[in-house]
Amino acid sequence: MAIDVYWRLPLHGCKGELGIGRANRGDWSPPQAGNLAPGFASGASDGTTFADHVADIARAAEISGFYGGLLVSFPNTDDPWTIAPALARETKTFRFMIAFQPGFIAPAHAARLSASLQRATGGRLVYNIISGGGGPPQLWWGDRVAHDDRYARTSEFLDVLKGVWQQRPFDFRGRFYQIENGGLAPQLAAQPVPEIYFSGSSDAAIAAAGRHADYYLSHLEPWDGLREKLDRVRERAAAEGRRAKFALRFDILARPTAEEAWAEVARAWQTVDKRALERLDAGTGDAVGFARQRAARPRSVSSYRDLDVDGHIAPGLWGGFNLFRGGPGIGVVGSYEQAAAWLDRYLGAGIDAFVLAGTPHLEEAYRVGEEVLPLVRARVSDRVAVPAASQPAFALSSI
Amino acid sequence: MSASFFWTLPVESGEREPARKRAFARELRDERRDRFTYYDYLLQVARATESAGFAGAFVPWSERGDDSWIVAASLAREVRRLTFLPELEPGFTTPVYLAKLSSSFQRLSGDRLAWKIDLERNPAIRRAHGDIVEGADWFARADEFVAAAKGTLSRESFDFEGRFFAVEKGGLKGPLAGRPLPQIYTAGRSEGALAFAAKHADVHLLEGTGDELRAQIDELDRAAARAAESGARLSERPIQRGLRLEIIARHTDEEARQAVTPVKGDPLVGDYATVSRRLDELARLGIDHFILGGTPHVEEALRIGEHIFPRLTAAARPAVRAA
Repeated sequence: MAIDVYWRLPLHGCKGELGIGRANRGDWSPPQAGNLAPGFASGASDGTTFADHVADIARAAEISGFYGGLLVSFPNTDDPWTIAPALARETKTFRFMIAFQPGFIAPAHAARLSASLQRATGGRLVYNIISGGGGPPQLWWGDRVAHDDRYARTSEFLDVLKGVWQQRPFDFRGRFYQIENGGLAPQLAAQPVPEIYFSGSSDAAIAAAGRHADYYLSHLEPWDGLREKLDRVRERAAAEGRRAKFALRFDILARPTAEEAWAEVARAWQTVDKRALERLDAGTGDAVGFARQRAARPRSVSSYRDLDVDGHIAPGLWGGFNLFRGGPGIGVVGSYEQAAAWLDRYLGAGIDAFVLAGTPHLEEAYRVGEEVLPLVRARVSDRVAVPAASQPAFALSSI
Repeated sequence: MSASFFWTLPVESGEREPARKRAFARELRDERRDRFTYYDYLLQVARATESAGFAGAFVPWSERGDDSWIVAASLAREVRRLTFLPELEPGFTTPVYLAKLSSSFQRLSGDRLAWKIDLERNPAIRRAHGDIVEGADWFARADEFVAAAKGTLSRESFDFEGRFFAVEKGGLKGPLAGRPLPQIYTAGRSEGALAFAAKHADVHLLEGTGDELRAQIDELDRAAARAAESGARLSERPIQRGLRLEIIARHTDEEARQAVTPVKGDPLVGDYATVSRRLDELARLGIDHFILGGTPHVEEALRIGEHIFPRLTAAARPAVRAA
């Protein structure tokens, strides 16, 4: 079975190296010498835009073998529904995985946007359905719907989106949406409905995922809890008569040797201050996924080594990536071989796809594509020997 | 002041849709296969529009066509100068989402976005897309929609509490903020549409020529006067008049008349000199913005660039490439 590996497109700017500090790629810091995209020459912007840099990252990822890119969405990002069509001509095969919250676009309109984008890209649109983390960001978006209702709305949204796409006339009367004599124009309806990567860790999320997810996409978590969560998705999907596939999303910091990789973590750690450590536990929303991440962390962190995760299983998961950006904390650190072995472990444990990321996104797309992905054996019977202190228990499980 | 000219993009894929291409005899080697999409043709139209000297491209919303936002965004980086005027349905996204989409469009295009806010779509088509609000409520929501979208775009700290939308501690931040607000275009002769235009629009689009046009100008002037009197108008600038017009121009009047097809509505038809003179007259009548259209869209855009624009007097000549 095909395994799809995506790379993250940082629509909120990118840094030249891992660490606390300004995102000098993108225009979140004041224009000055050393910034890329927008470039800065003779005291003024040189006319390049951040989208030019995002296009370069997409090309780098495509050239080095990634199947597509995740276009992230939160209040401070550029918007995927504008960036993806604008980049359609910049790449040939690269898929655009658009993250979006269904509550903000009417489902029939989302179907139109999507089918049009399929026509613009030759069928390269993929969805990352997110339903919001609650708290102030949700109100920033203008959304007051409560947590579980957001997932009910997401589920209904996808019913309507598929309905107008695949039936004509389509009529619907639900809790959140109502359609009268709907349906896409023929040239739009002829396009395929995008694959759905579905995110969310709560019971309400997993219920919706069981109904709609082609891939259930999770941040990387300690394996025992993650396995339990994937089992629940599998059960819910089975109850719907479906089979969900699984995708994991994480940062990957790989170097020729493990020593070099950890030296990079140690270097980035030098930039960490007290405020960054406090930010680790910030967040007032209702997102269950982030609560799970928080629960996996030690209460007191005084060294980057305290953020080692699953060290009893195998070395090389580090839980501090969210010191340097928003989002999930756990990622892979190690040699190229070790990093590839982690991917193989997860494949062996039933994962079907990955959304990877590294800083800086352009150079690391080349590095991971050129150095790590070729070492992934992908369920071949003579899978690479795991360079671990002990064999990972989960790799041998039957899932 | 010179007039601005936009060209209409064909979103309904009636011409040169690759899926409808005519097959060759098997003996002819044919490398087209599925290599080309309708968007390749739309790009040709956009490039022709820019070459011809138009200042912008109007992208209509049609339930029978590709989506106006996707079409506009897919072309923005591919041409250097055109302003894009997608037609938008208020109510199909949240206002915050329109602001977010628009900020990115401004950032990646160098501020070449304008909004055509559609005020007069058939309610049955709206219901087919999930919009069940009608009448005065519909216009009240459209009013909130534009107010909240503009607030989100232009204020780094923005709160809004309306009947239909609410935003708490909203507003785009950092480089996403501070972009110029898109110019707002409207159209429509209903009371609701004219009141909305008089409050929000930079340009209100009229249709037709002759007496019908004069009647519309009077209606718009009256609505603008009412808004000025009541203090409803938000902009300090007066509303500008635009005109949507199909053009069928040829070397001779006879050729032009032969090119008219029954489905064209009320086009401006004639030889190049006559059509140019009519556009001059319309500009003198107070039309500042022309949104022209013609089929096929590549050939007709180029024809207007070559034969019409050079014949216009200074008052009507396109602002860009006025030589």
